[in-house]
Amino acid sequence: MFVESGPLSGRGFGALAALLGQFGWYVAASIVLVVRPRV
Amino acid sequence: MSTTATKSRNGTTGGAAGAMSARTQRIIGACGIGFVILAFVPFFVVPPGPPPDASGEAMVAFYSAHRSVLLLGGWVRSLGDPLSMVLLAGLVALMRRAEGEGGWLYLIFLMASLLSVALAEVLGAAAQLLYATTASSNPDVAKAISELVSLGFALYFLPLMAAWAAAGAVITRTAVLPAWLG
Repeated sequence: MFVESGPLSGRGFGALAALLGQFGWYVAASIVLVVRPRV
Repeated sequence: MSTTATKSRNGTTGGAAGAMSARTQRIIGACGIGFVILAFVPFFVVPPGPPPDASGEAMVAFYSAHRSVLLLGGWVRSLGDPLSMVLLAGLVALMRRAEGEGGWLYLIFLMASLLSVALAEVLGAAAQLLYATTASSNPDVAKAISELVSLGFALYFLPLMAAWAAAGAVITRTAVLPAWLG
């Protein structure tokens, strides 16, 4: 099953969810390091 | 600026990030954000490709019509690779210190992340080859390379699962990152 419209159209939902999860985790960890460094 | 070592949730001192300055961590975080932005830019500038079951001729037509923007998107994504190295190295260093003596989960995170990055590089190179040469290549060859990239993309997530499992274990055992990231 694929996303049917928008900039992510034509891409599979599963792969898209995994990609968003991966990059979302990276962004969240990065923001934590920028905003609240682990001291 | 405090230099107090982070304590693990079981009450012992993990020494997390004790030797890494806040400034360094902010640089690592900024690189991580830059990496993700560069990785996602192509999603918004590159038109969606033909479905996986499209014919070789349809793939040649698509990749030929959008060759320039596809190649540009690939290069933009590649610019984020050095930044991803900074982020991953920083996370590995934080986890290693958090685990302390005898820690080994950070090694799983390191190896699995390296494997996924290496796979992404190979797939990225194959995709660039596809975009660059499709117009002059056999449709069957174009379809074969396209399927290789699609299959490799699926495999890309296997090492990442190990990386996330290791990161989750370290995060829940120590306070190296907020628990909700574990």
